[in-house]
Amino acid sequence: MKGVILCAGKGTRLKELTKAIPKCLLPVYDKPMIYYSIEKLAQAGINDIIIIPNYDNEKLFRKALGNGDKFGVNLSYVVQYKTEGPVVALSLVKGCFYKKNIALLFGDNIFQDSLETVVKNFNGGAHVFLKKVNDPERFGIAELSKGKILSLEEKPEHPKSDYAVAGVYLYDSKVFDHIKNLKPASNGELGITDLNKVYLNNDELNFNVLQGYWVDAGTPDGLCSAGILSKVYRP
Amino acid sequence: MKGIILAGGMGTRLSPLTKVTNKHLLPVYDKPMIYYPLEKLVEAGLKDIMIITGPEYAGHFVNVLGNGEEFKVNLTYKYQKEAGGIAQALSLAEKFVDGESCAVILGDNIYEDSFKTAIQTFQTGMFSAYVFLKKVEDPKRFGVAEIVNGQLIGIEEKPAKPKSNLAVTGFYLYPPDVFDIVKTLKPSERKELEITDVNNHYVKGENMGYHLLKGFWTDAGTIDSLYRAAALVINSKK
Repeated sequence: MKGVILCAGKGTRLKELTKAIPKCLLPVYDKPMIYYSIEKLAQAGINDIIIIPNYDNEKLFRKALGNGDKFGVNLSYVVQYKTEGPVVALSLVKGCFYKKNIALLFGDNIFQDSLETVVKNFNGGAHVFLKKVNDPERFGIAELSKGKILSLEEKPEHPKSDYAVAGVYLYDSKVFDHIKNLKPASNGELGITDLNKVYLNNDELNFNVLQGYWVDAGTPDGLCSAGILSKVYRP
Repeated sequence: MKGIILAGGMGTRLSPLTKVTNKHLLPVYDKPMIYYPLEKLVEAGLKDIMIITGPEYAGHFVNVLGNGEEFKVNLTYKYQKEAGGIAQALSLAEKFVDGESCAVILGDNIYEDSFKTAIQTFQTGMFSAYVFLKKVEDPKRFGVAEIVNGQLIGIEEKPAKPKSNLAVTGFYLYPPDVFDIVKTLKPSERKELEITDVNNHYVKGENMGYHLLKGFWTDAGTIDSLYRAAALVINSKK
């Protein structure tokens, strides 16, 4: 399995904080945010990792992370030139994944659970990670019944559950064919929830519920919570 | 009165957070660190403010702060070629200050108190210079003020046996002759021109004013103090 970390977002929700520093290089306690994603992948035995920055911040990621030596992994970089969302970003690296499975991480998602076991047991299809939240209207939401996902909805007005889908996904290499057949959502972007629905409809979508914390660090309060949790729960 | 924010240094104590920018642009909760000292000067009524910073990331400050329009002040930038201590950095502002008095703040010092009243007091001419003191638990880490009968009679830098628990914090008000004083300084053991030596010059003149801070004060130059600064800012908003 190879890893992909998405860092091309503009970080507009963080306002002036991202004027000099790209979102995924902002501090989360004592380390730049993206260190946490790289370390999660490395800890799960994933040693080939592709970072997807945007055109403006690519150099800064290269400067901060180098070739991955200090994490014991190989890092490479693929630039996403336009802001077209995570699914298009993933499609950019198709050439790197011939018959390889993919661990896709949003660079601003900070979570506690280890990926090791799920990665080891991954057997094709797709795998998502769920977490109960207080504000399900903000997330992709999974409706559960009898240990299975019944439906997926992106930012629903009337959520059918409070299980949000975290920004961490495992896919088999068929994902690139599925992306080709996706239709854009109303905002013109290819949505990650629509992609996951393809696996759901094929009965190939697995999940588990995260035991530890999970934070979207893309807002000032989220960034701050991520720092506090990272400090308090540091093993 | 002119304002000066000292924002140089390599930020090595914050590595790896400072790999891609200057420490003064790292977040303290929802704003870059330098916003806090800048907003304190703005709130105190200063209109002309100089930011002095060092190599590598000078351009980042311009990207983030621009010409000061957003804060309704004029910002000027000065480039400090190599580190030589706080007092050496200050000396670069001589032409900018141009015979006025000046308010000098260290860019990584975060304050809760307003400086407005103290600056008004200073501008009456009652004192030659003015410092801001804060009670601390570990005075050995700071410049420590000795006060007898209400008068500040000495400042000792990182004393083994502190004469009080009052630290001299990173905000100073100086008269126009401060630049002449800096020129007379000799480098310290760590080969820097020390701000404590400037302050002690005015202490010797027996006319140093001071204010005891009531709200929180912290520097934010280490991982732990950066974290603490964010927590203090959040608490103060509740």
